[in-house]
Amino acid sequence: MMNRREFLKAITLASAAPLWVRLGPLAGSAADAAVATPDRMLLVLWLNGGNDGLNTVVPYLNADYKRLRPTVGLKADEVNPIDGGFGLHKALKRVYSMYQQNQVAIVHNVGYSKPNYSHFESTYIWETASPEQRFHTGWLGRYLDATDPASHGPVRAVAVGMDQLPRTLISERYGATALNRLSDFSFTDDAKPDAALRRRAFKAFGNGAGADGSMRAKFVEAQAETVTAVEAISGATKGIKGSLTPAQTVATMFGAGVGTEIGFIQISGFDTHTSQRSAQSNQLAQVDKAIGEFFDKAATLGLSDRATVMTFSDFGRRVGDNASGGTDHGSSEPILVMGPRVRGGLHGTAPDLKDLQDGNLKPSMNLGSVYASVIADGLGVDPTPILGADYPRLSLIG
Amino acid sequence: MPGDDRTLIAHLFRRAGFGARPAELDYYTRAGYSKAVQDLVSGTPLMGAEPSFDEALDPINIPVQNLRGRVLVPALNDIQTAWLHRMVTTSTPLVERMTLFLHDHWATAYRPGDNIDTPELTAQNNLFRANALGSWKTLCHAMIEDVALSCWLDNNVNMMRHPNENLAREFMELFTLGPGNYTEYDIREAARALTGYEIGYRLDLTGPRNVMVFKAANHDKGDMIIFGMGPKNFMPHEFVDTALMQDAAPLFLARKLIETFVTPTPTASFVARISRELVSSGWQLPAALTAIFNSAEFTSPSARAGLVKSPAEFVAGGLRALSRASGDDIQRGISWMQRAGQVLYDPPNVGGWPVNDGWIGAGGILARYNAAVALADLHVAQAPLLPTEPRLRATTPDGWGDIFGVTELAPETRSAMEGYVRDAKDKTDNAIDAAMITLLVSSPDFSLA
Repeated sequence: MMNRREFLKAITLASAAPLWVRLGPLAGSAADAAVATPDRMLLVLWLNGGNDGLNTVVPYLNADYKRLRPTVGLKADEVNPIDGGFGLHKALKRVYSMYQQNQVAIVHNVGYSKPNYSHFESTYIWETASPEQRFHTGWLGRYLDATDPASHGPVRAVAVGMDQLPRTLISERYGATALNRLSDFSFTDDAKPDAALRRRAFKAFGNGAGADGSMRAKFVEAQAETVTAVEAISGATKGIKGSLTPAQTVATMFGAGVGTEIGFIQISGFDTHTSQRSAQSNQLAQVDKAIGEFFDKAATLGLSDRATVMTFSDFGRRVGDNASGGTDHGSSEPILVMGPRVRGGLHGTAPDLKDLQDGNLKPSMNLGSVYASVIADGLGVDPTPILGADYPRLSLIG
Repeated sequence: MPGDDRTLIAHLFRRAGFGARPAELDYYTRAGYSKAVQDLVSGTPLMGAEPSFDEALDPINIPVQNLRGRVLVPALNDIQTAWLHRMVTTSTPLVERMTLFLHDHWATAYRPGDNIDTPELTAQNNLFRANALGSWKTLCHAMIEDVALSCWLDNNVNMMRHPNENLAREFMELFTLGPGNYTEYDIREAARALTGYEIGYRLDLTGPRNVMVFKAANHDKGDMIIFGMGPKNFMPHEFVDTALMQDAAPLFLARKLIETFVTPTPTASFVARISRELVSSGWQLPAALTAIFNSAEFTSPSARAGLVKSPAEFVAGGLRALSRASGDDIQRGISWMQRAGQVLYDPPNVGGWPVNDGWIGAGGILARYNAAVALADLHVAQAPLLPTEPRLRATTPDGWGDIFGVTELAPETRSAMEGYVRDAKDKTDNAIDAAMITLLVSSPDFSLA
């Protein structure tokens, strides 16, 4: 395995810098904060809890599916049929209409070898793209590390509506910013006469701080990043009225002229051990709503052609019902990649319900192949050094 | 042996409580570090005070507002404020600190639709408090019958014919052993051992609440093999005993306690040492905590400022330092905590809250700064003490540090605060004090423990 210096060198040589265009629609009010708006943007949507893939991209005609899922299995009138004998869960209305416009790529049965059924460990593997735990940074965190010229804006990645920074965005060098509402993102003593003096003192906590890895060094670094981010965001989002959902917030940040190119949001509630039919339907409806909100907002900001959305979840779920009207933790899952640049349709090999391992699907597509395709074609960078392996790529994005 | 100096005692109280006030620092500097450790781990009221009973904290006096079925139960906000009030006013701070630790460890969230409502969470919280300085083993046995945890992890629908693995898995992975110390087979078998419970109903002081009831007839009668033991028919509590007999069990808890109170990166030998305390004491938490607080790893100056306080510790510490515990103050504290990312009784997932640098994204840092602004303005505008008493204040940065339990300011913090005073246009007490509190509370010195 290469060391860090070799890693960075490989990245620098291999990566073509993304194209940049000048200034987003809010640039007029962004003044000093304005930097180029990235021309490729990626929103990652985490279905937190382990979404049941077989009831998302549903093999509703499959005899084994019907046999193994007498309770939670979906019938023909509960899906919108797509290709290959599959149907999309009816809660995914917007996704279905995008599918019909060839804007949804579905990758079948994605996972990794030796599936782990723990929420934390499996999510960790998905977020680090590292089944052998060679990496502890996130796959998109390493993308940020790998593409680091000074021309990038102050807020390259945002996770919205998260209690903590998702590991996907954890990098060696970049702090990502967790936001709930853009309007929260200001110092409440801005109007006091001594605000500038207070801010000067606050910044001075970090004077002379070295990067010695101590908790204090991390803290003052986070404080400095906070001041930078607050100033950039307040400059860039002046004049935005009303409250925004997380998906709308990401789209707004993409267009805010602060260099944001990666967004991360989550919809929780997919750990459907019980009463899955109603629970998953409600949660998928929220996913669908978020996807719609994101693309609608992106459209009003003139960003539609640049934006791609992809989903992932902790894991898929057990093929057979449990007795509580739910499903237990499973292995592989379908991945949805969406947007105008996507090559719509089904990709990869559908899961084989006759060939199970302990009642679980055997993954037929490595998650590394999906990430490699998204990094290469969605973000325009060589994925091999970022992922630490040369995964075969799919043609997901045109 | 550790030195008896004021700075070390301040360090102890930042970790084992919600910070020391000047009177507490004075008292324990005279009485000695060992006495401070002893009082904290034994749950003895600080400074020789009589045990107190605050009527306002009695569950029967908590107002009820929600209509659940035909029964009135407290609102979530009521039990949140009741607990924060305890943290701010307690005379046995390690009891509350350990209760917070246990809430994070056995993270269970408010889900009234799934029978996890305020009476159930209050019962769980009281269980944590009763065992906070007691036996880990007793607590583990009680937790598999705790109704909130059981419903949170689906053990209420774990049936003989159709086991649900959720509690079995998390009991081993997150609560007692850690990943790598059990197999998928163990999980499937343990789920069977945990069958036989159903939800019942009990009349409590505050009204009826759900409880778990064991029905032997509903317990899986078959043989099981767990951790290579058996085949035999494991009853639920036999499974708990078997889990705690694993070598990994005391090491797992020792590591978690050390990560909470000492360092995120403990050495294997330190973990082993604390683990032996747990084993030799028969799972007594005070034995492990005493060994931790007396360890060279804890008392060494290099251990200081090595952890990030959670928002609960940060807010409770700020309110406590300024003796602010009115209903209004506590309510504000709850909203500051929420902005900083922590809602009591609603952890983000079964793994609990983030730790250390997980708290200090830009949103968290900003929320702490804004909480500091609000706390400072409150203190300056309306002192909580008697009108005849002067408002608590200091005239130097280090004096302010002392009020907030930080006896040694970093030079950068001191000089930043001095720089403010030097260049301030408005040099009235109110303006200077508000800025000093804002800066001290938003400084790394106060957020780090």
